[in-house]
Amino acid sequence: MKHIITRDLTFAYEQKPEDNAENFALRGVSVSIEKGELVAVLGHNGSGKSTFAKHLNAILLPSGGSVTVAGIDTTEEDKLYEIRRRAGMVFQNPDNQLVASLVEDDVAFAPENLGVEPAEIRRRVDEAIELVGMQEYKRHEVHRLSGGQKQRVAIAGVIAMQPEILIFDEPTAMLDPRGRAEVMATIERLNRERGITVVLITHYMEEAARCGRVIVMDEGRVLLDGTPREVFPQVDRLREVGLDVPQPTQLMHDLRALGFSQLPGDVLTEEECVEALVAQIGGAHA
Amino acid sequence: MRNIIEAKNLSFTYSANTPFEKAAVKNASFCIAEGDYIGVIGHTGSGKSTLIQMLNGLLMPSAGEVLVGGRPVWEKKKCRRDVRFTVGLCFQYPEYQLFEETVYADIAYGPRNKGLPEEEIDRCVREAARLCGVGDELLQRSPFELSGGQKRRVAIAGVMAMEPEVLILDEPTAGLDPRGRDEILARIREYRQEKGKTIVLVSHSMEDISANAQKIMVLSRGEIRFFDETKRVFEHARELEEIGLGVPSVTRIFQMLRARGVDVPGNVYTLSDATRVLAERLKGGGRDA
Amino acid sequence: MLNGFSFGQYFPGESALHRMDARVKLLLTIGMIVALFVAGGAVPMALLVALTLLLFIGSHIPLTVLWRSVRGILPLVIFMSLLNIFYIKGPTVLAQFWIFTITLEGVWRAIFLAVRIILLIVVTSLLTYTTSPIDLTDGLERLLSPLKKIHLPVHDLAMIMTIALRFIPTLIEETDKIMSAQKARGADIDSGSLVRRVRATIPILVPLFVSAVRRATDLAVAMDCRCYHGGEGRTRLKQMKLHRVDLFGVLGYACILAAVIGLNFLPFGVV
Repeated sequence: MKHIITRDLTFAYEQKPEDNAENFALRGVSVSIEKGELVAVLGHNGSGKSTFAKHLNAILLPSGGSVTVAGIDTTEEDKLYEIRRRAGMVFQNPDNQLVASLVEDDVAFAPENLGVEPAEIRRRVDEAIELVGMQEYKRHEVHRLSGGQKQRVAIAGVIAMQPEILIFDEPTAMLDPRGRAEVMATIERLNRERGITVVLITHYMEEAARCGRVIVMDEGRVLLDGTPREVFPQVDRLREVGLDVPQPTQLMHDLRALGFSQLPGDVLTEEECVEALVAQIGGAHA
Repeated sequence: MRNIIEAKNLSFTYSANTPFEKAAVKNASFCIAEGDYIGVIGHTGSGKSTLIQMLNGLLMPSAGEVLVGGRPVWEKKKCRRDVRFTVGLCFQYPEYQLFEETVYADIAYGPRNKGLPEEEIDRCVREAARLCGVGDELLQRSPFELSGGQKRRVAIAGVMAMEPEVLILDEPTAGLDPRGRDEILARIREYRQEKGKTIVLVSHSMEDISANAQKIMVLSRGEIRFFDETKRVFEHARELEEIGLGVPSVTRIFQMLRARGVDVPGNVYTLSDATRVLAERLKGGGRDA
Repeated sequence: MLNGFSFGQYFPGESALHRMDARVKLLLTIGMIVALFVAGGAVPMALLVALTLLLFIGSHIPLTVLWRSVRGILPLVIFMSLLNIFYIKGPTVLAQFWIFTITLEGVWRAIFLAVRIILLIVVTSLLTYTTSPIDLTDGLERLLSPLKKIHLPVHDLAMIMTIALRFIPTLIEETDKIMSAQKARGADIDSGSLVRRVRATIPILVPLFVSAVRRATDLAVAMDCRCYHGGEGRTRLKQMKLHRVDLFGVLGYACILAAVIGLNFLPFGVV
């Protein structure tokens, strides 16, 4: 089942008279995402990736083309809250999306807005907090938590709406490595165990490499779209648009460029890299 | 080389005598020589932010002393303010400190506080702007109109313009995309090459630190675990992983190769070194182990 | 630097005070303040001191925490008490020097004033210490809900208070950071003439304001994404129901107020 479909999506931020048509943030994005996929959207700042994300739950509406989320066209005004409930969104700055001072009060915010019965809110809040592993912090004040913990509370706050799709707009950009790992593990678990479709906007290639599919954006267009193994070996194209590739991939690429074309080009992990090198150089046990 | 900073038995305790009391830095002693490029790495809460704030007189140590250019920082009040111009500290997300109407005026804030004459301020501002890649056309613009990467560079220029002997940068690349990150790191390298000043780079990223710093200080739970030349520190890959800091991916690959009996050095930490070593081994035609 | 401040914070716990309904607590706090001003003699005041002490012990709030919220107000209390000692003149002269006369009545008034202000702070602190911010604002919203009839935006006011309570610690932290950053650029915040000092706050206030605006914009989008659309049709996680502890609280208060008023007519220590 197609969960998200964009057809020839274009978008221009508010046009000033002196601006010309060059001001488009999105220039024809056609993407379809299946239910249960874990998709990374990779791109540098200004590539259009965040603008794309904001179209997936109707924060922004297309200037041209269309966006369909869970079968609903995002321009259907009377279904706005239905779209936002089904496609939850987590933002970059964990501080600026928490509304209430206590963890459980914040997680309850969305179901309260949706008019859910109190007993059901309680159940959802407890479940969501447990899903992100914050049960010990239920009654803690959010401002005393670490960045990673705050971000997990923000995720729980969205999970409590019971969405089918989660959109993460650079959720780890402001976190330290430990917080980043916590949040990534949570995202992967939600996708794997709950079957939630995940769109992860990021500029960290390590995170994209862990997803099933990577969409690379540049200048408001889709540049590459495929599995990490298909995308990352295109080292030169990624470098050109200001992105990193995993070090093992880069290492193999650099060695191949020096003429060692017997090495494989589609290496992603450290283990694969070691295997390939041992096969060529030979280890003690080879 | 002369030591520009000497720290002797530095300790700092937060919220002393309250339930939230916490030792942030414990008994740290070290020297930083003129012209060094030092990388400081550690988790959030490892004490690195506290440590650097003691080096420029923002935080008073609970115990121990800091000498900058041989003079104790906390002896006189005047000294304490002067030291901020000698040891320039650029905080994390420095773009949040921008406040002036123009980029020029904002970069001039530090030199003006230093009490420099107007023509000297002008020279410092233009030089810092050039070093940070802030073009002349930006100088009369409002800092709030700029892109994220530009704001960051303006903010760093604001500290550079004080022409400090030591430039400390706390996570200067946090939140930037790879292009923005590479730009900032290249600017810092250029600045050092041109001015020969001391740099202290605080970062979470082993890759960034290893590719830039000559010496690395590893902090964990308020203690200095290692402070040595970069390649020496990476010889302790296992301890680093235990602290939870990890080592660059290529270092791990080399360790795995060694475990498989391939004869390669254990302290390779940059991509270019790794490529060079492996190319030699591959050329050597191989199955000689 | 600014972290030594604990007034208005919440300390989670399971005491009877914590469990009491926020609306009842709000009303009883106002009631206690009334009682403090009604109490006109040493005996009723002593009764209120004892009661406050009991409430404090029962709340399981650490003494250091309470001390931190009282500490801030102490200079004011001491100043006002001294003023009273020297200003109030009664018939019983205790000491006399130069132009000052200290009378027993003045000393009494000073002690009364100090006790009153300190109890005021302690009682309101106990309210915020034992009531989570959401409960507090929810309680206020419900208490004020009759005013909706005269088109007062009660829900919006409560939501504003919720957000304010949520962001005050964040903004205090931010102020601290900006101050450090500007000091690192040589800002001289605490010396010079008044004009200079006021001007020196600009590099702190401008970034703080810019940051607050950015946070507000982000928060508004995030609230939209979580389907916030005003108070209409909103439900609550926590239902407010009166329990036995609330009943005890109200009855207990009624007894105390009666006692305070009654004891005011006792002949000793009346001021």
